[in-house]
Amino acid sequence: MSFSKQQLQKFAHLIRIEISDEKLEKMKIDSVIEWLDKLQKIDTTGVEPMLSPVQHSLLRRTDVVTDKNIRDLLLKNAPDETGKRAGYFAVPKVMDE
Amino acid sequence: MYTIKGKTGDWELVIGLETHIEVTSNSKLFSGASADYNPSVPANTQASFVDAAMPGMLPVLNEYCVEQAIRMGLGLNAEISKRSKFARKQYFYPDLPQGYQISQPAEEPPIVGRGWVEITDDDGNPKKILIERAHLEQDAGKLKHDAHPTKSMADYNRTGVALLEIVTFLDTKNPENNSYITSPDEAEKYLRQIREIARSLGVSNANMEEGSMRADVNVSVRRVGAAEFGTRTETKNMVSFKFIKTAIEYEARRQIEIIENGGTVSQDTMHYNQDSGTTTVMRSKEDALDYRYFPDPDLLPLIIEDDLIERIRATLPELPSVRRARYMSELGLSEYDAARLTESVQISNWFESAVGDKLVRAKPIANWMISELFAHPENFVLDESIQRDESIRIIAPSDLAELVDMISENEINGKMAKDIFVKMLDGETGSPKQIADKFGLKQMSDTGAIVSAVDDVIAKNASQVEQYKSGKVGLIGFFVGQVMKATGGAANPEVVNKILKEKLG
Repeated sequence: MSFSKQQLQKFAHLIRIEISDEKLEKMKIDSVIEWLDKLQKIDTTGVEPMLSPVQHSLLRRTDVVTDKNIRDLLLKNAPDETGKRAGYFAVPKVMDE
Repeated sequence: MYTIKGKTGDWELVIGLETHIEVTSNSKLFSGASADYNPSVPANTQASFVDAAMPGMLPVLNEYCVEQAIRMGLGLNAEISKRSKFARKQYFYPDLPQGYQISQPAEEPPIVGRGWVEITDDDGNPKKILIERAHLEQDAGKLKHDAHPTKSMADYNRTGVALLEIVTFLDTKNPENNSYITSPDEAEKYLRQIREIARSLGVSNANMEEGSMRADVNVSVRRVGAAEFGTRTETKNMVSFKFIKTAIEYEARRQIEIIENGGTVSQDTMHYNQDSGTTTVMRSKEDALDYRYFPDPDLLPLIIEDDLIERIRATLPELPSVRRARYMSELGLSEYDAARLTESVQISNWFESAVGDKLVRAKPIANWMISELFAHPENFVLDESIQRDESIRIIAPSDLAELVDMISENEINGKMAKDIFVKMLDGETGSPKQIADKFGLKQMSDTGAIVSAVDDVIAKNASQVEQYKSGKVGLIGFFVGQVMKATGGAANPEVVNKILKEKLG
């Protein structure tokens, strides 16, 4: 299987990566896809997909509030001062949904 | 059956609902921040580093939210999956700093599998609505768009609060079972049923006005009797029963018009406009989001032991629908009374506590509660934890039980019971019996005294007696009234009636 430049650009957009066509070419994505094709051909009938090599069971916590108000710490890295002063993360205006 | 008349014939509706209810818990689904996101809490004061998706932060599952999901699942008569997974659903929007929502994968069994709820259809018959699944996922934050001309303000207090998404099932293989929603009214009844179950189990407040219950509505149309299902559209984020019903009807009519004009319905995502009651395309099928679900590498599969399921099942309260049926079949209450007395778990508990093991009390207690007590909520404590004015005389279940017993044992008549009730409302302390003693409210059942009062009334009203004997039997009420008056309201009206009839022949 191989992908057109257009398809690859679409995938890049899906994960919000900006990449030039030139660079895309250099990356030789096709060789990765080829390798994935090989993996796809392995017969895995009856094999339960492994989510993690770790054999632990899922950690759970009790329903207790352990995190208090840490707004100032949270907002420390927020780039927008206007939002920060009001206690918010300010982002460029979005209106859809 | 609900149908819509088109230019070329009649159409039926097929409706699917994805209902999100906010799970009641102290902390969030994967973090230790408080899950109380109500609007009075200042922005971002209840968001942790996990909620804000700071690098290196890891989600840890809240076991209580899992229990809540199981509880709701049992309330929906559903299978609980012994093993389910968490997946990342990718989308980029500033209300979700992670860049993905932790949810449960669409193709695999989520925590709650196939179930059903029962509603009454538009013809008044019981109808089972099948549920495909219910899964746990994170809620998103809130954005404020009006605070700044060029910026939106993100508040992550709600980010990561547990949601349970309940999805109805369209059984395309067995359409003859008619086990899906087919009208706007049925959609409302289904949602009310979900709400009632969630509330009575303490799983969620499920309040649409407060945003703790929201629904996405799938609608398609087909000609009455058609075998194939039509193409559906999805209208997102509906927050009131009324809007949902309007949107379903509008959307169905829009689709019918398209088909009747020779077009085809496209599987689009719609936006509902509250002001005009119309839907418009928000996202076409071609632009549908690619969520790229994949297993969340931070979370292992969720294994649920039978033990836990059985422990929760054992603590499940009787659901209101079951209670209603029992009130009607065992206690002989009317459908209306049964509905009023199951409006909340607290009301049902109050009622049952007053009835106790004397089932004959049920009907009179129901009457007193519905026609008198409900009008005085301040005297009627349903929730002991709510602060109340100490000066108010609270009417307890035992008070009403005693009052009702006094009537059935002929100690007082209905009029006296009402007097005692009003005295309690006015702050009179002491039990109904004590109040009756204090004010000398005692029904006269001494036949001798009643007989002499009756004789007296008959002697004084010769002309009425004449009329009665000549056929105006309606006058009996007049005589009863006179005797009651003569005895100061203390006589037993039944006894008076009986004696009068004997005397008047």
